[in-house]
Amino acid sequence: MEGDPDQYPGISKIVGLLKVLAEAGGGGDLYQLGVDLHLELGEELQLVRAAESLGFVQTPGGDITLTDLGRDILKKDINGRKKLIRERILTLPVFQAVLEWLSKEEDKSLPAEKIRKRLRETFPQEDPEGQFQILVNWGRYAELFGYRADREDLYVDQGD
Amino acid sequence: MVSMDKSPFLRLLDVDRVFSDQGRMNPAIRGLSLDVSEGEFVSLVGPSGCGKSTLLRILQGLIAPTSGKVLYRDVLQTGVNPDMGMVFQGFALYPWLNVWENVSLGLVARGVDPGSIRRKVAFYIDKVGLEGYEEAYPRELSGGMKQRVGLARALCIEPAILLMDEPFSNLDALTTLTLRDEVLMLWKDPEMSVRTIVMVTHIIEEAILMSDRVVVLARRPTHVVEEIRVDLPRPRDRRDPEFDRLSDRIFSLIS
Repeated sequence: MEGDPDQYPGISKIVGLLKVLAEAGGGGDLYQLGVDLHLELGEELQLVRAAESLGFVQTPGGDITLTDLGRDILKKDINGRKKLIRERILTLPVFQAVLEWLSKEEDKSLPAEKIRKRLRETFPQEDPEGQFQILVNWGRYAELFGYRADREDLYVDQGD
Repeated sequence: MVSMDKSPFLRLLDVDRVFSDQGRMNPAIRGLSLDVSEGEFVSLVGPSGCGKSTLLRILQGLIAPTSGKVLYRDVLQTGVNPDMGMVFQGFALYPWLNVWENVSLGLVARGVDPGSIRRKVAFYIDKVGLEGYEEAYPRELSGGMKQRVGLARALCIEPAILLMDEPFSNLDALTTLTLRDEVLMLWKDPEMSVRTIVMVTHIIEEAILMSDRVVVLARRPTHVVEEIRVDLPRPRDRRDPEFDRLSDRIFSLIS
């Protein structure tokens, strides 16, 4: 996996967003937030959507508010954050699906190409490359998946 | 000047540094004195090109002062101080080495035995939140993760002092917020050997958010304009009126 590692919303960026919201009293206007943070609209929506999928924010109407979970993660230390994000990631359908695919393999691993193909089939409404980058990057952060760039395969991180 | 209640841990005494440029003598630092106490977080702020990074390199012993002295624990410092780790603005990672190998570099260079290297690298990778990324290459990492590698590499030589040269200036604004927090967590972590941090930054807000004392430097030739103690409770709130007052004051000293 070459390419720009910033095509996906990284965890540090998501946590930064939560911190901004906490400092603003727990929420705000989505449009104004993008202006204040100098984020391009597409980038902002991708980031907000990622934070929402993890359960850290809600976006009623044109607003954004921190959830209790979003406040909790800010109070945790570095590894406490990792632990909480791992728990949240395990609730996401794409991570559940990929974990199941990998677990069925004898060596708990699959080539990247195969994963991308199955992602296209199973989640046709999503961008498979974006999904794959999130799988690798969030998966590594959560110590759920490992990825060998030289062999281009994704595997279950069994914490050796 | 700020009074020091503890004995000076790291001292710069009347330091001058002159660079010669095509036969012309170019003074970068003139008559600069500075004390850093053990356990302190000190930020050096100043206009760009004021020689902040040169100063950091003099502290580390990478550059010798033309005149004046650097004392560490009351001993004259000659050569590179092995008790200091450095975090760089541009991360300074080797692209052909993975995270584990990049972090272990400092220990390998010091001839540490392989068993200790494995133990220490694993410990500091875990501490900075990089566990799971061991076999990733720098090109696969976001800026935030790259700087975590830089931090782990600096910390795993178990230095007493951490020097940071604009460590967040290559990161986006949101990642910067997260990493500042995490550096402060590591500084307060009783399992870390680092108790003292000297950071160069050109962002006034960052200096006030993070440090116990802000040292304001003048344009070249650099000297200390003023030292400002920051007594705001931690974690600090940018909306605190005192925060504003301090930033206005520092801004007026720099501009």
